[in-house]
Amino acid sequence: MKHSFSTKVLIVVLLYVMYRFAQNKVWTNEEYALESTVVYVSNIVCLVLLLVTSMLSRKIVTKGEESVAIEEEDNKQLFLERTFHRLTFYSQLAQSIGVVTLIGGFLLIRDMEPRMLLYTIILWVLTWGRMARSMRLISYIRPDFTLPNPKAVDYKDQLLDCYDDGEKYVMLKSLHKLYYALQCVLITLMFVLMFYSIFSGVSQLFSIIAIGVVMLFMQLYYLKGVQIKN
Amino acid sequence: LKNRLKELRARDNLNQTQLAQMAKISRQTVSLIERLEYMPSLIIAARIARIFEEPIENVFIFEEEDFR
Repeated sequence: MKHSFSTKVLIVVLLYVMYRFAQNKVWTNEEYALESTVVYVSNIVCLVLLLVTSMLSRKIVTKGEESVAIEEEDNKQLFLERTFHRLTFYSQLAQSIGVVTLIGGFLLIRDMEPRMLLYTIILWVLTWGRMARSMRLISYIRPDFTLPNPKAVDYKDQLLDCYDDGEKYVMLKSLHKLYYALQCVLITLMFVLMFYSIFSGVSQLFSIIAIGVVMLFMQLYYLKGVQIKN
Repeated sequence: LKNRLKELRARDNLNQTQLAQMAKISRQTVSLIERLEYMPSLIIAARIARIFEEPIENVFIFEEEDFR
């Protein structure tokens, strides 16, 4: 399989940053060594994920353009659907790691390593670009799927309407599980922060209140959506 | 609610991808219906039945307990 131009660029960049990391040139300031290393490693992980998404995109394009016998069509379609699912997963993972690194990096190394922070911002922007490009590949999986105009006021509603009933059913089941799982996670997190505050002496009250507000918003938003009309 | 999708597909030499295209749904939905994990809406059921040129009740089998 031939690699795309973006894959080749990402491989070169990844090799360079790993070389720099191995050369121990990242941390010049002893005091901030650990923080810099953490941000640097996060950036490498993000870069690896971007590389993976780039390779998966290429795989989808190559397989999507391949013509197969009728009896092999289902296998091809299944392969495309699974690859697209993996692509979406890795894109979202890269985006999440990117935003956590960006915020963490801003708090920890903004004065000492502003250039690394700039790289983190660039990486995060790239993850958004990758996400947008991944969405366009859906035409290989569902040729009748036309993405709505991103500038449309009701873009989210239009996007949801593009999926058929079966796909919506799968989403609904997954979101229903997520709703309950998130509540458990948030409550557990509040208790963890409470014990952390007690044992470390560092108050986490603001975080606990913020999590509580998020939970309240989530519940109210959900209940507003399912309220009985007439 | 059982269905004869797999059997009818074999009869008409259709794969899941082809049936999905003809019924204007995704292959994933065809697969879900065949595995009895999702009950299609009336309009999708009608479209599928029309593709096989069969009445809906010959494609989707209603059982007595479905009405209880």
